[in-house]
Amino acid sequence: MSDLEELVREELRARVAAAEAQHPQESAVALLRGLDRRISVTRMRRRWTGAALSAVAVAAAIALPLTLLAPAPTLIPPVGGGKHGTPPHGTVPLSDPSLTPPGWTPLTYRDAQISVPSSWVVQGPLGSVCGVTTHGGVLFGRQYRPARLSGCRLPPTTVFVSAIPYRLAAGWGGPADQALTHRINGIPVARLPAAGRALSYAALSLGVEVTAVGPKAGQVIATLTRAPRSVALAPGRPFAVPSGWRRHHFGGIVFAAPSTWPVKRTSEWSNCLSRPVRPGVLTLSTATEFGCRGGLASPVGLAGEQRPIAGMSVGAGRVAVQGATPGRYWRCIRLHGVRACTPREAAFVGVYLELILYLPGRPLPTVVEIGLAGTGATTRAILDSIKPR
Amino acid sequence: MEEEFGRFVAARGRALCRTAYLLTGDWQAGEDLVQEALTKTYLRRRRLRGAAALEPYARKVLISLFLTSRRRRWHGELPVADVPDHAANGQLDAAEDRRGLWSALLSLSAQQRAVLVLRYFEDLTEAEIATVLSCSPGAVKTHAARGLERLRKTIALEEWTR
Repeated sequence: MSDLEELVREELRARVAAAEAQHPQESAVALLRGLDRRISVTRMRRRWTGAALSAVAVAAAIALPLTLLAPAPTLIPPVGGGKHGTPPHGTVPLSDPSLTPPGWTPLTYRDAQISVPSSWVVQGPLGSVCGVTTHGGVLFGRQYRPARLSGCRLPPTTVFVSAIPYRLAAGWGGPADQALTHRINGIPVARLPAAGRALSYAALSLGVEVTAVGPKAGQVIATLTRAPRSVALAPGRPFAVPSGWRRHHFGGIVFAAPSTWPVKRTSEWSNCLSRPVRPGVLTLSTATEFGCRGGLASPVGLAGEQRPIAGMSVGAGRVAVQGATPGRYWRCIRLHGVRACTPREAAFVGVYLELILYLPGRPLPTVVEIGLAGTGATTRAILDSIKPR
Repeated sequence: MEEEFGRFVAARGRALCRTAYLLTGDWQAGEDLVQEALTKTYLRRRRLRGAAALEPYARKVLISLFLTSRRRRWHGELPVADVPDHAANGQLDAAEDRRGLWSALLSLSAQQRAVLVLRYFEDLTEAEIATVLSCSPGAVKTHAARGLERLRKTIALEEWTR
């Protein structure tokens, strides 16, 4: 091997060692979490694509002979707003926190929220609850298929929450529409056939299918409501800032927040995936150093660890935007002329809403994290108040 | 298999991140690439022959995704904390030399960089690299030789490697 080859080998190893020192082992946890989310999103996309292709094929198979034989063209009913719990223009239905019994924790997936006892185990699409010795478990991104679970000892009550291609189903105008005969807390749902004593419902407007098996199945299903994240991001009229709130200027933005939240100014930024927002506190951080000293939450979480909190953090330094790269964004919106993006890792987290704001004239984006406790109205009012300074 | 895949990610995810970092030059972008590759591997896992096939397949997908992303004209905006420019005064110390070599590595074509990373970091043979890149061993040799030649020219290594 030549000197140059030896030098290249040394350089590559030295670079990796330096990079690893800056990104310690806990990023493996972030990798697993991000992977969980990405797999569920990819699966959802595939299902949508598959369903769309099937729908097109079926529609073509039906429409072609009809077009050839029928004397007049068949009218297809338009897909309108206001169906399936979709709010009419300008109004946004809120999440209902009173549906969460004491000692239980609300969990969100896509636009839906269910509540379960805080001691239950919560897992993503790659996780398993087989043999878990708690009273209950929740599997997000997984459907209940008894045949696949043969040999698996499920907790006494297990809840499966998965995405459905709801926009497609809502626009189908056929069996899915007619099947919305039930309502759970005002949300139209379709009762799905399920094996054994499982309860299974599809909530098209929330984009989820919920199946619960076990003694607490009915109680869990009865807590179904809209997720606060969905309230905050739903289209509709902006929420007015309640009187008594205070306006703050920080990180290139102006925003309003409840005056009851004490303001904490710091240079630290907690990039821990578990709790970046301090409960009941407005944190304004220059984000020049890491504040993650408590370690990361385990990827196998308990429901109680996912409890949404009230509070807000604004980070305006380089530490806050680490990992904020466009390839990792789930979705971007325009907020008073500012581009605001949600990272994929935080896209479906029910604890807080994370937005990365690209402000004109600022070299680094500003990161805003707003707690998702309550009805979603506070989060939305804060979000609607954010403007570039 | 779900648990098996989880174990594979826990055990080998970091190693894939290292390779991805050397390819992209950015840890976050590398992680993103690894997540994409692992997602594709996960969705394909039932067609692979056992757990031993997961890593070679994931690596192949990783390289393929990297090469595809480089073929696109726009690689996406990348916010940085510091402006990545530094003056050179002609008297570089060892650290500056290293930085020069790293910059030169990042300036190579995607194929050349992939070959050098697989050859000198992953220690794969030319035949193994050819399998990963879906090309002939001859093409691997050509990419490696051209890459090294370009490195030699870019950083004027001749003087101090003699």
